[in-house]
Amino acid sequence: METTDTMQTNDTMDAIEIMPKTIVTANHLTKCFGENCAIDDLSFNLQGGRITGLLGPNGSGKTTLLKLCNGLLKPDSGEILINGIAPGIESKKFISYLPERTYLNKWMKINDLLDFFTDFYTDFDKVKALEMLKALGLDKKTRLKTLSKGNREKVQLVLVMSRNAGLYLLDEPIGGVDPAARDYILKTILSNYQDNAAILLSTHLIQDVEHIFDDCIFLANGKINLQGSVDDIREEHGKSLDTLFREVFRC
Amino acid sequence: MLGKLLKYELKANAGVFLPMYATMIIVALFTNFSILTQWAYGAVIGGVVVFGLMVAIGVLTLIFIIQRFHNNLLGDEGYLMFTLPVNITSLTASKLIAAAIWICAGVVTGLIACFCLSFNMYGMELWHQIWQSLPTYITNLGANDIFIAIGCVIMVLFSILNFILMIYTALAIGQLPRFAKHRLFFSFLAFIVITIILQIIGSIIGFNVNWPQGEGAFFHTLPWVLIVQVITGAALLSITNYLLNKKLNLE
Repeated sequence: METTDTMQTNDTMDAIEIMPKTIVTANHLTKCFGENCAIDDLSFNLQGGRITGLLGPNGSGKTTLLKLCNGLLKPDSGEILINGIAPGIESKKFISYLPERTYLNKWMKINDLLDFFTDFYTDFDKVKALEMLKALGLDKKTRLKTLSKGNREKVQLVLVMSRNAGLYLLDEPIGGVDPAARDYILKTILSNYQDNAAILLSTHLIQDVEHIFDDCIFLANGKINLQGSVDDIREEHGKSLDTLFREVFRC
Repeated sequence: MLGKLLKYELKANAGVFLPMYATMIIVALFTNFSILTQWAYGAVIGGVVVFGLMVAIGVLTLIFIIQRFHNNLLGDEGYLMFTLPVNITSLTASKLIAAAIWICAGVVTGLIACFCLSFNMYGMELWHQIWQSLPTYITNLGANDIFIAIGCVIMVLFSILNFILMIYTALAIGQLPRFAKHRLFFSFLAFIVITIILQIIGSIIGFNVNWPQGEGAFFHTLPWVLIVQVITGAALLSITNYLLNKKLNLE
């Protein structure tokens, strides 16, 4: 009897480990700016180990949603939970966020910035960051002030992807860089994130990135228009995400 | 975390302030040398430059303190600072402490420059005498005098810090979503309103409290002035922290 019990417990334990972990939970999430609701009663879950494309036209609420996830904005109603808790210091340790803007200051060198990330994020892997910088041809002694806009975006992406985070929030990560770097960056994203981590990547350059998505969310006027596994969606509609996007959001 | 934030906060402005301090002291020594060699042009020009640098350092210290808060927290760099795993109070406190350090460093450098400028003017004798008689002078002072002297220095420092906190609060109000289109105008307006409110509160306290009269009145009043200053500062800091925590609106 006792043996059977133990075996059953072990089975349940295994089942829990195999089951993908829910990383982000949104319940009736709403955020309005005056009359205009950028996020309107949104509910969804994101599982660990999957790359989700957050797709939508300009002004559909993509950036607002990412800001709600990392605590830069507070919801008006509803809730968003990261690993089961509301955004705060703990979630900030867990999330690696790439904003659409360049947040790099002017007085540091790339090297100073590596030290800055080492000081504040325990999961920052400096060796990995140096490798990536080298591959992209960026010298760690360069002052950020002298870098071009595209190169600053590359530095920022290197910093964000060099963290062993549980959730990556990437807002238009490939918008401003050349196609060659774009390929390297996508490869970097795929090869660097932890197996059980989740990635939420917002973009409107769907064609370039749709092959890396496991799931996708189509956002329009703060509401979810379409959500699911990319394979299922392609099969169901018989067309690529890019074609589908152009049809759904036809002007 | 406060220590790490403070480290980067000081580093950010060291590149500007330290060369200015050095220049001021070098010019002061040059002026002194000109006086010694009775080179009138050098002495006059040097004296004017030292005086100009003192004014410039005073003004620039204030401008840089405001700019650090505005650019590093409310500008694009805010995307990095507010997603660090630290609490908001540490962010504002590190800025305020760095401000206090730069103000004190500026004053001390000014005093050193005065010494460098003048030690030959009256011969080393004068400074030697001051140095020799200082201990006797201090022992002859009553405990009350020392308390008043230290109290006055603290009072001046607190006044400056409260002025800076008023600017922080005004900037935090100016960035609210409803004022977003004219941030600086509303920050300026908020600063005027805060000044008026503090004046009104100050007048109410001033007229309604039975202040000590006659001999030793200042001695008995000083602690209360300091307490009011600390309460005002704490209130301003709390408002700023609340606004940055709950109502942050990065562009």
